[in-house]
This record gives sequence, C-alpha cells and structure tokens, in this order.
Amino acid sequence: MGTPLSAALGIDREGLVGRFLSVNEFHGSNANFVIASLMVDSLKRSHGICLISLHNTFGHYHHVLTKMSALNLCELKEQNAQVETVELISELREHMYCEDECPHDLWDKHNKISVQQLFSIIRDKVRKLLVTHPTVCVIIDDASHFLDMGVSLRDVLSLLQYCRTLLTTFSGVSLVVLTHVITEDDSNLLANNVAHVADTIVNISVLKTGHSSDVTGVMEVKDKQNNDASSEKWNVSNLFHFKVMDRQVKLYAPGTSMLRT
Amino acid sequence: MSSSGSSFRKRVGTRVPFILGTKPSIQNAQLLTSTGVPSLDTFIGGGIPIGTLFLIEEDVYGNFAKLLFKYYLAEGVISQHDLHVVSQDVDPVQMIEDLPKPIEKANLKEGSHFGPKDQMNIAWRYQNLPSVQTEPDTDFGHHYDITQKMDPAQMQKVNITYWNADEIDGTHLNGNNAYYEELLESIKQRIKNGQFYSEDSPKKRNVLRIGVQSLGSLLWGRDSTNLILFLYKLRSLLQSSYCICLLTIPTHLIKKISDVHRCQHLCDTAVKLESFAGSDRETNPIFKDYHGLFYINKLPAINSLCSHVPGSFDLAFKLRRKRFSIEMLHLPPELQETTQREQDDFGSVMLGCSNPRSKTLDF
Repeated sequence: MGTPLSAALGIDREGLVGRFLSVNEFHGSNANFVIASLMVDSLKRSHGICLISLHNTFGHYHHVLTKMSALNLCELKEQNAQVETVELISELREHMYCEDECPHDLWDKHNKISVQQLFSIIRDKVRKLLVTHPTVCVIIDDASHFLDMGVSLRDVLSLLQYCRTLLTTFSGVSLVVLTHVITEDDSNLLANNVAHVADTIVNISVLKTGHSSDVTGVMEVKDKQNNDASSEKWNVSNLFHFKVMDRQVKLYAPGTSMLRT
Repeated sequence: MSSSGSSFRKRVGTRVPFILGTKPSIQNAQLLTSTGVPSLDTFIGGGIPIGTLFLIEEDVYGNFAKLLFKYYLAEGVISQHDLHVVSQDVDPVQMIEDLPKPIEKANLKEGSHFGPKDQMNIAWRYQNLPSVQTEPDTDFGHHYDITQKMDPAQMQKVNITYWNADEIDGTHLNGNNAYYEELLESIKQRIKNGQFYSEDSPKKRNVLRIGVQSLGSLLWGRDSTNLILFLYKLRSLLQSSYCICLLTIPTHLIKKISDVHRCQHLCDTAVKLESFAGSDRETNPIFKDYHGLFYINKLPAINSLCSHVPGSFDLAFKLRRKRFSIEMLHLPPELQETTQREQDDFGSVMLGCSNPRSKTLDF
C-alpha cells in the first residue's frame, strides 16, 4: 500500500500514527519529495492532513500531488475536508496589505508572528479534522523560516514543543517537521533540538563529490523508536541514494542505482 | 474517420494568458520570461518563472553583475513589461538611460564569432561536420550591443518607476532597517496599483520586472538579519503575482557564509559570477577564451518535485561587443608544444641553480 519512501521510513504497515518525524534538509538539497510522499501516503490511508506551509504555496503541493498520485488536493480540502492548511507565507502577504482590519491577530503591527496564536490555530484545525478522521498528520514545511521571520529560536522550539503535546493530547496525531539546515546557523541548532525529541530522523543531503545524472542525493534514516538494545537494528541508520523525477522518487541502496536502471 | 464522430474536442482557450516576452514552460506550464541573456535562459530551464526571485551573487568588482542587471532591464523594455528599478549605489534613472541597444537577429548572425570556414585540403572529410556548439541556440530573448544606447522613444512606451534612498533617514525603526521597510512598501504599492496579482483582473495583463542592484551593500546597513527578513517578505509578496525580481547581492561583502546560504534558500534561482579580473586566471592560457566562471547554485522547482538539470554545471561567461554569452567550459586544444614540455626536455640536464638555456650558474 505504501510508497517506496514509506517502506524506507518503516511506516508502510502502520502508517505515521503517533510518531514525530524530523526531516532535515541540508543546504543544497530539496526534501520536498519527502513531504509530498508522506502526504500521498496519509491521504491514501484516509488520514487527515494539517499543512503549515512557510516555503511553498498550496498550489505547489496541489500540482505535485496531482503529478505523483492523481490526488486532487484542492478537492480534498474544499469538498472532503480531509486537508486543512495554514499558509503562513500567503497570510503574511495579506497581513502586509491590511492596514486596519486584519482577519486574525496572528501578526502584530510590526509583522512579528505570535507563536501562541499560531499554536491555537493549529490545535483548532487538528480538533476539526479529528471529528471526521480518526488520524491526523500535522506537517510543518519549513520550520527554519520562523527564524527568517524574526522569531527567536526559543519561541520556535516552544511552538514545536506545544505541537508535540498534540501527540499525547489527542490519539491518532502525528507530527512532521521539515527544517532547512545551514551549518553555523541557528537552523542547525533548531534541527538538532527537533531531532533530539523526534522518533524518526530523516537527513536529506546532496552528494558530497558533485552532481550525478543517476542519483539526486543521499537520504539517511534513523529510527529511534526501535530502541530495543538487544535488537540488531538498534541505533542503526539506513543510508539510501535517491533519484527525484517529475512524478516519482526512486530509492536505491548506495552503489546500486546503475544496476536497476 | 470523420471528426464529428470522435469524442475528442479541441481545448478552446488557455489558462495561461498571453503576455509579450513570456512563454509557458514545457516542463510544468509555468510562465517564463527572459533574463536578457538567451544562453542563460537555456541553462536555467527556459527563463525566469513568473512570481519568483532571481539572485545573482556579484563578482568582486561588480562589473559583470551590473551588465547582467542592465540586460534584464533592457529585455523588460523590449518586451514592454513594467519596470521598478532599485539601487542605492548608482542612480537608477541614469542606469535606465544607459541601457544597451538590442541587436536585430540578421545583424547578429553577421557578427557571429563563428567566422567563415577555411577550406580544408588534407582533412577534407571534416569540412562539413558541424562545429562544437558550446552555447545553446534559442529564439527566446534578445542580444544587446553594449557600445550603443537604447532609443529613448522605446523607453517611453514602458511604465518605469524608480526607488533610491535619497530621502530616507537610515535610522532604525522598531528594530528594522528603514531602507528595507521603505523599499518593501514601494514594491507592495507598485504591485497593488498595477494590479499584478493573479486574483486581480486588469484590462491588459502585464509583467512587473523588479530589479534591485547591490542589495545588502554597505549603503543598506551592516545587519544581515534585516536582509533575510526583507527577502522572506518579498518572497511572500511575489508568490501568486505576475512579477519577477532580480537581485544582485555582493555576497563577498557579507561576513557570515551562513547568511549567504540563507539568501540562496529564500530565492528561487541563485547564480554566482566569478570574474577573472584581477586574479591569476586572467592570464592563464586555459581560460583565455573566457572572462569568468559562472556557477548555478540553485534552480527553481515550481509546481514540481525536481528542478531543471542543465547539461553541464561547468560554465563560463565571455563578453563580446554584441553578445554576452554563457557557455560550457572547454579547455583549449593543445596545438603547440608548451613551456611545460620544454622544461621537461631540459629537466634531465638541468643543474641545481643553473638556467637551462645559458648553461651558467645564476649566482
């Protein structure tokens, strides 16, 4: 049922329910395919999705999912109420234009975002989705933009910690946080803090030695839930090479991409 | 088979509006417009996608970045796009007056660097083989002659607005740099008044080209935090609009490399110029055909999982009177015995402190 990526993440059987997934996109790479694959996987399992987008527009996700799996995200949002969105980048634009009357007090007059208010919006949307869907996946893409907006690292971590409490407050909620990581930057510290409390960590990076026509980059998966010390898989990270195409993603064991194509 | 019996119906009309100087991408139907350098368009996937930010990391002296900036504006004038020109370093009005003149396609072929072929007497079989094409061939965009200025009458057809910080006090307001705040406000009003958002319905749809020259230089203040905040807000303004923005940033003046990477992440396309001027490479025979190296750091992935992959990432640029071109980097052929070879020959008889030619000691 699952995509190759969900098999690699170990969520092909039970799904993402109750898990906290940290996706670290190292500078130069693009982890958009991880988010798109997780969305496809969740939607096919009839899970609800609460998408907090800070980098791309909703239209981008709609087009990508249409190409990947023929799922109509607009329809799922408007008719089936399976998808709820908080488009922060679009709402920032609207806020910049509204001079007196603003739809909600997410931003102050200096365009600084209120993380408390944002969390209450996310919580309300999750609550709404849980009425019609037994499981909901909260996706934040990409958390490093909170730092770009002038939110302090402490406030971003508080927000993510509050979002993490949703996993225990409601049953059937999962959380995915994508962070664009730049070394010697606060985003690195943010990613480390998120990874510290996450159940599964996915690191996406480019090839160290340059460009390849067969491989787009490297994906490293660390599953901390499999913490049985007697197990052979304890604290083992799985390494994959991946090739991103317009409609699909192919995963390979390192060195086997040429053999399979 | 009669057409009346088929269930096929030709799709009438298109969702992509026709705007002069634009074309839809063959990959994702995204509307593209030219940078003003046709070879650059090809390497970045056809052109700049509408609604995106294009970052040029300037060369050390900024000469070639300034030239690319002028080509971008000149292409806007030729395509009759609206322009919003921003600079603190130079007078934007003067910059528009100095835009280069476009070259007719016919004249371009006459001035091409591929000269008339010599008659081959010995290797005659190779006479009709096509020469190696390092520069892609395209009909989209124009070439410009930098020795001649554009006709002022052509500029009067275009709605051009300017922004420089002459009247702005550079003191900080609410922790934010006043320059960035004022510039953002001017761009915001320009987009709103010109009805450039996709939800607007103007009489005639057009594209707004925003050009910001030397953003983040010393004149903009030293704090990179404001620059990053400005870029994020600008990104939010441009999404879902018929605008493009080209920024040149002197990244060698930014203290922290992490801030440069953050700027690259906030822009959709990021390229870098490295001029040979003033460096050892200027006199290196390997690079004698080029004026600098061209790096593609990021390409846009709009409405798609993957971005365009150019044929090569080893690129160089050269400037001629009638053409600025970006080409795949090729080393020149080894046609004659080099100095290295001569040294190798003399190496076997050379003494420790002697000159191999004079056979006498240097001291």
